[in-house]
Amino acid sequence: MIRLENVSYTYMSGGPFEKKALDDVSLHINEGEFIGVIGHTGSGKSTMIQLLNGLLKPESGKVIIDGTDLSEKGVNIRDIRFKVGLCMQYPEYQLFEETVLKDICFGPLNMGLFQKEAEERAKFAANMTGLPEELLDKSPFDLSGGQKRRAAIAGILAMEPKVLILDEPTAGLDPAGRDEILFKIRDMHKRMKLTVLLVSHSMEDVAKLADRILVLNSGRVEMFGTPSEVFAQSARLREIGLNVPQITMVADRLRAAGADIPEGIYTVGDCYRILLPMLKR
Amino acid sequence: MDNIVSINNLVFEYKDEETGERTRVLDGVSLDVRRGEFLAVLGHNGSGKSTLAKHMNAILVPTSGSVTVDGLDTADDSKLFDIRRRVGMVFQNPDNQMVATIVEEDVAFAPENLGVPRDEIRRRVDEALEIVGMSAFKRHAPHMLSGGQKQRVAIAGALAMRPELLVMDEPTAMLDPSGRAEVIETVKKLNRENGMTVVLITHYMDEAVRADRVIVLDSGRIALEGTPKEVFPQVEKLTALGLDVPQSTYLIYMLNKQGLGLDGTALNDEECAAELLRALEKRGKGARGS
Amino acid sequence: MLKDITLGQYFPGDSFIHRLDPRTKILIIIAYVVMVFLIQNFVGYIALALFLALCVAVSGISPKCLIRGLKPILVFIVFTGIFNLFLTPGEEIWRWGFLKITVEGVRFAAFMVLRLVFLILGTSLLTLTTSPIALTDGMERLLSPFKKVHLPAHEIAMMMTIALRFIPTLLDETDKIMKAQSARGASIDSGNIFSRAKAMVPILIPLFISAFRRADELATAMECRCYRGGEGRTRLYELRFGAVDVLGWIYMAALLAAIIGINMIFGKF
Repeated sequence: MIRLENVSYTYMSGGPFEKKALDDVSLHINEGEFIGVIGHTGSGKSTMIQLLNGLLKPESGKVIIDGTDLSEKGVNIRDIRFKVGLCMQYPEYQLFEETVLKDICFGPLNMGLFQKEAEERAKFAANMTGLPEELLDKSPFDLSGGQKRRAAIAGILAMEPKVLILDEPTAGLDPAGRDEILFKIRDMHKRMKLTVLLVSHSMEDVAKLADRILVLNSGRVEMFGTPSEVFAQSARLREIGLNVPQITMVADRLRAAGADIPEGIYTVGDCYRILLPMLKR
Repeated sequence: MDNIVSINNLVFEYKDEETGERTRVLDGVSLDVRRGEFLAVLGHNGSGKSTLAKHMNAILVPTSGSVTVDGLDTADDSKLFDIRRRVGMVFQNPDNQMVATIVEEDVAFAPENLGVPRDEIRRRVDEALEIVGMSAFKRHAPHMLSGGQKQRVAIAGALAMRPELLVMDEPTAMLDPSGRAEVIETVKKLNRENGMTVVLITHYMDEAVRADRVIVLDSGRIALEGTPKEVFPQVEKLTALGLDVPQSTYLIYMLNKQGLGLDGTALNDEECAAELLRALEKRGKGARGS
Repeated sequence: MLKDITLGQYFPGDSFIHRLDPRTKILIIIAYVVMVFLIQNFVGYIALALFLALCVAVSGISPKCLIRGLKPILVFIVFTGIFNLFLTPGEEIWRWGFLKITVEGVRFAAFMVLRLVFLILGTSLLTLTTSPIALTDGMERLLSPFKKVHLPAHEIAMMMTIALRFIPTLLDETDKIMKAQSARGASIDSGNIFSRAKAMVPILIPLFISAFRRADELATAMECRCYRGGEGRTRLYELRFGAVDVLGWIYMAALLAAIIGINMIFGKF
């Protein structure tokens, strides 16, 4: 679905503030995968997601989406943007229309859909994000923080992209709001067969949802594997300034003290299932 | 006096100007903030946390009930600046609380407003920047700093008033993990080494577990109160209030549901692992080592 | 594309020009602007050019950098030149159809272009060598005598400071919003002028809303830090005139005298 081949990108190229954001990155993401993307600020995450829907063009290398090389002549970059839905950080700041419904329709109408079809899609998308139907005729600015966030995500979803990229979709939400959004994202992934890229600082969130985790560090791919493969390298993760789920640290400590605990524990449930028989009786 | 802030049966309502409806945000909160303590305030969005914070420096005044800061009643208009000077405030968005285009001039903003003499301003600015570890950036432009650095400058800006109390309203909500760590370390150090009283409003449980005392707000009332070790083991209650518990606490809670009788007060990985090892050793299995 | 805007760019330094009190510099620039318009012959401009060259040399600002400041308004300068060249009535020296060039036209065009160039170069030198905050401070102090006639000198200066503080933040924000809307298929850079204007709506509305929210939060934050207007405020940096300022005034007075002298001796062009 997504393929990067030796992609590099440099900001302010040639100037004194030149900064290499991505350095020879190659990777491959399959259709329908749920990918967690982690890395600290400046690791190249946001550059990468902007390359994926053509907001930025690679300095060298190829970005291939669904078989289309974005650098090829005659490729309509807007079509790519409809295929790869990008929901930026704090997406509620992009709301602008009079009603929530109109705002969600903005993307579909830009695609050239008829009003009726756009509205149908908008209603479906609102439903997917858990936005109650009676809010659709309200002004987006009268919604609560969590509702605004959903409306904004629905605005991307309504374009029916094949790939959905979410940059920190839970930033600034309280725990209940965060869990609800994550639950809805998982739901979308399953029901709409979306390929999802979830960029997050929270290892706990990524660990809960992702099939594979991509770890970026100073513009390079540091790790790319299943959560247990990635969290098995918890020492290296901490070395590059990332956290690991607290439960992984508990498991690491137990193992270090000699307990028989496997590597790569990353959910409370796993840890519980291993510990319970050891502690019972 | 032992308490820096005394809140007595505080009720706060606001009126919707269009519909005339009155909404009650705080519904009878009584709370004392003790001098020198580190108090964390938890609660889901809309539980009244920010409103409570804004009562501590008379940005808002009670509809009924009373708030006194260092013995001064916040309803007394003539004491407004005496109160605000005693309470440093730091807010969520680091960009929206800086006034000046240079770090040190921003830190100087409050003492300038207070009419502090120039030499004294200089002293306070240097000292405040030193405490938050931002001295090297004093001539920098704020928009070139990272989120964590900006929040440290905001803290310095509050410290330059020489406040008795620092109230922080979700200061880490918009930061990345390293920025969060920077800010929390700074606050912790301020509390421990400079004896600063801190009220920290947060969604992050790993920040709250480091406080001396935690209160949980729900629908404008205090739902839970106590030390972190008293509050966090109440997993069911916290979840019902829309909050998290640390994974460590949750693991032990789950194991205890199977009747294992572990000490449920573990709040971090270290305490949790220690408790589990103790239990494993007692049972003489699982642990291979000594 | 927004990154190209370099509003109020300031190059820190420690030159004679940098050390001048901002009030001195503002007064000098006012005198300079008056002179640009006062000069009536080319000898005057030569004198002014020498003065400006001296200032640039002393300031340590690279001339290249200064000249770059002309780029954004180059079109305007060229237009002014052409306009005056062809449309000034007088003694004809060249004609092609309805287009004619007159002696007066050549002179006038040259004068207008020179004036514009001198204005931009002079004011750029001011902003390049004076921090925005010093400029607003200087302005506040210079305007403060007018407080008696209810001119809100402090408020004006405070507004300018806050504007300067938030320009980079809002530029950043504009960039983000543009990207977010592009990701939803908004086409910002294509179409005719009307569809472009329409395409700005999804960018401007979020931008305004965010600016209002920021203003609101900033106002609260300022209140929390005991802001209550200019009354009784002290400053971390008090402006003080020093020996350099006296020198600055002397240079300026000398130049002013020279320009007036040149005007009297050489007459109108």
